Amino acid sequence: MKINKKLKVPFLVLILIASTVAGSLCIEQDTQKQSSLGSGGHLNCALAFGPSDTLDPVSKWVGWYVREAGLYETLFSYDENMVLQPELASGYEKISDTEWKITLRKGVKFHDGTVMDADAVIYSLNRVLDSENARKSEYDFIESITKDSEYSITIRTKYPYAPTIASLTDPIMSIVSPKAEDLQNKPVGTGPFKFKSYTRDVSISLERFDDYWNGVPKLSSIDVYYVTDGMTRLFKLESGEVDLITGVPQSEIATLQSSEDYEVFTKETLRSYFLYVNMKKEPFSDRNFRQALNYALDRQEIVDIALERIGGTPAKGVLPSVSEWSVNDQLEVIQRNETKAKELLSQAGLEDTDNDGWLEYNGKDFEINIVTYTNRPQLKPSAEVIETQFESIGLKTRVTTMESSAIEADMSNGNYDLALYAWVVAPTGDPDYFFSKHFHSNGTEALKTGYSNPQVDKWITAARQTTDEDLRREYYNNVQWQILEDCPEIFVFYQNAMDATSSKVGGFKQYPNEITIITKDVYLK
Amino acid sequence: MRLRIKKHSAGILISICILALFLFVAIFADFIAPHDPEKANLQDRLQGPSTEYPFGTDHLGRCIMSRIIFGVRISLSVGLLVVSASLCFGMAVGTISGYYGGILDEIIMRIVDTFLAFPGLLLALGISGLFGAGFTNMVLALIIVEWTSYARLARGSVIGIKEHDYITASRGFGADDFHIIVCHILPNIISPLIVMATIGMGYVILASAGLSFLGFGVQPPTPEWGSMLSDGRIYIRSAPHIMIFPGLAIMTAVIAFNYLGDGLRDMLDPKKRTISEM
Repeated sequence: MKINKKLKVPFLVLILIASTVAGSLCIEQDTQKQSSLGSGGHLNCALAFGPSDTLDPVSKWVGWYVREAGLYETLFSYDENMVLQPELASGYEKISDTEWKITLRKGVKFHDGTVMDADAVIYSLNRVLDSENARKSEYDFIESITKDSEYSITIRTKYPYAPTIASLTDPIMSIVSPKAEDLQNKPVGTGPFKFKSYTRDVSISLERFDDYWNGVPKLSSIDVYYVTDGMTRLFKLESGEVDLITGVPQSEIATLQSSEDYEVFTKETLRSYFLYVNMKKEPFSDRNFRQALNYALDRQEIVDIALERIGGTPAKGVLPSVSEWSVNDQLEVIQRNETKAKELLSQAGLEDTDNDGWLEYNGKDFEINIVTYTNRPQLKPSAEVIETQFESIGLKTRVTTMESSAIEADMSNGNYDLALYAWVVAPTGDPDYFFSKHFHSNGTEALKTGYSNPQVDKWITAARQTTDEDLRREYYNNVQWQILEDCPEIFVFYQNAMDATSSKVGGFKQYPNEITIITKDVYLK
Repeated sequence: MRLRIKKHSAGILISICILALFLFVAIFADFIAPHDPEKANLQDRLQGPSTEYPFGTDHLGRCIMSRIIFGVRISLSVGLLVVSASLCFGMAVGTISGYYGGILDEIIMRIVDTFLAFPGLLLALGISGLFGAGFTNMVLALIIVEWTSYARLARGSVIGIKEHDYITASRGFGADDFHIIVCHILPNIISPLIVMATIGMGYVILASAGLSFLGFGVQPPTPEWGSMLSDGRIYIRSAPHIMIFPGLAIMTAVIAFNYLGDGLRDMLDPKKRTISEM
C-alpha cells in the first residue's frame, strides 16, 4: 500500500489522536471499575508530603505521614479543635509529680490480629527511647515505663515534667504491633486502614481494617499519592484522578471555591513562618537592629501578596492564635512603622554615609541575605516581599534559595543573616516542644540563633517542671512577651491549611496540628 | 536547485535577524527596558499586558518585558561562555587524541565515553547540585557536560583527514606537528564544529533555563527566563502571561540557533556545495 506523501503527516496525526482517545477511554473504564468495588468505595488522594525510604514511625517525622494515611494511632491525640482526647488509652491519672498512670483501651487489635496491651505499648514507646533514635533527646525526661497490669502502664519521669501526656501525641509515639517483623516496609498499626503496598516516593495503598476498635471505617480502600507540586495536585483533582488534595495553591483557591464540584477547606494551623536571626553576627546582635527589622515588616502586605490574602494570617506573637497557650488575644499585629524602624536603625549604627540611598554599617556597605528553601511554596514569595520591605527603608537585601539541608549546615556554622523557615510550633499541643528547642539557651534551634536569656531559660525550665496550670500559663506568657522584646526570631505569619475535596467526598475535617488527615469518617457519597 | 538555496538562505537570514536583535537588546538592555527588572511594584502585581507593561507584570509587580530583556543577557552570556569554552577545550583534546592516537587516544576517549554515558541535562543537574546554585557553577556544570561531544567530533574528523596526501606532503617538507595541526588540520575540521556549536547554543540556552527553573541556576531576583517560568507556574491559569512570554523568548532563541545551525550545515557541507555549484 502506498500512501500519498502529502497525506502521510495528517494520517499519522489522525492515528495518534485516535490512539490517545482510545487509551484515555480505557483508563476511565478502569477507574470506574475500581470505585465500584466494595461498599464504601475507593478514595484516591494526593498529599504534598510523604515518606521516602522507610515507613517506620519512629524514624524522624515519618510517623506523621503514616498517621496521616490512617495506619497508626497514638495513646492520646488532639481533635480538630486541639482538645486532647484519649485514643488508644482510655484515660490517665497523675499519681505524683513524676508518675503518670495510663489506662489502655480494651479490645483494640492490630492489623495482624494481635491484641494491643501493655506489652505492646511499652514495646512501641521503648523503640523511641532507643539510643539510636535521632529524636530520642525529646524524650529524655522519661525515667522508666512499667507495666502495672494487662491494660495499664506507669510512666516515671526524671523530674516533674508537665507535658508528659501531651508528648505522647507526637506520631513518633505511634503504637506498633510487637509481632510485626519488618516495620520499615510493612507497617502494622491499629489505625482504621491497613497496609497493602507502597511504591517509594509515589504512593501507598491501604484497605479497610474491619476489626477497627472505633467502628468500621466507611471507605473500603485508599490510594494515597505523594505529589510535591501544588499545581499537579490540583490538576489531578480536576481531572478526577483524585478526590482529595492537601495544599491547594493559593492562586487557585478562588476559582475552586466558585465551582460546585469541589469543596475547599481552610483553617488556621499551628504552622508559623518566621525569620531566624543570626545573633552571633553584627549588627544582628544588636536588639535595636532586630527590632528595626521587626518594625520594617508589613505583615498584612506579605499575606496579601505572597499568600494571595488567603494562605495565612499575619503573626502577632510566637504561637498561632489556635493554640490555647497563645497570648495573641492581648496582642495586636505589629504594624509597619517606618520612622520607628529608621530611628532604631540609626541607633544600631546604620547610616547612609555615602548618600547612595543604602544604609551602611559603620561606614561599610551592608547587605542582608535572606536564605530560604523551596519545598513550601509560600516561602520564596514571602522572602521576596520581605526583601522589598527592607529595601524600602534603605537596607540592601537579597534572597537566596537553597536545599534545606544546605541551609541547616550553614546555620549551624553561623554562616547566615536571616533564614525564613516554617515550623509547626505545637504539634503536641504543649508549647514546651517549641520553646525549649528555640528559646532555651541549650535548645538545638537557639544554638543557631545564638539566643540566650537566663530569665527565659528559667521560665521554660520552671514551666516544664510544675504541673500547676495557671503557673505554667504565666511562665509561658512571660516567654512570649520576652521573645517579642528580644526578637531572636521574627514571626511573620501563621499558615492556613488549604485542602480541597471533590463534592463526592464527605466527612473530611482539618486538624490544626497537621498530623491527622484520613480518618474512619471520610466517605464517598 | 536554485529554489532550495533560496529557501535555506531565507531561514538563515531570519535567524540572523532574530539573533542580531537579541544581541542588540542584550547590549543596550539598560536603555531599552521600560522598567527596572528587579523593582517590585506590589500595587501593580499580576497585571495583564498593557501600554505601561507591554508583557504584563508578575506576582511581585515586576515588568515582565524588562525582565525578559535583561534575561537575554544572562541566556546569551551563558550560551556563549559555555559553547566557546567547550568548543575550545573539546577541539583541543579531540584533535590531540585523534592526531596522536594510540594509548593517549584510548584514555581520552574512554573518559569522553564516561561523560557521554549520562544523559546531558541529568549530569549537569547532578554537578550543579554538588557545586551549589549560582551563575558560575551552572556555567561550569554545563561546560563539563558539553565539551565531550566536541572532542568526539573533532577526533573523528582528524582521523579522517590525517592520512591524506597533503598532510603527508607537509610532513615531508619538514613541518612539525604543531604546524600541521594548526595550519592543515584545524581549517579542515572546523566547519562541522561550528555547525555543532551553533546548534549547541540553542541547547545550552534551553539547559540553563531548565536548571534555573529547578532552582539550580541563576538566583532571584536576577531575571532569568527559566526561573521566570518557575515563578509563574502557580499562576498558569490565573495569569498565564507570566509563563507565556518567557516561554516564547526561550523558544525563539532556541529555534533561531537551530535554524542557523541547520542552514550553516547545508552551506558548509562540501557535498551539497559541489552539487549546487554543478
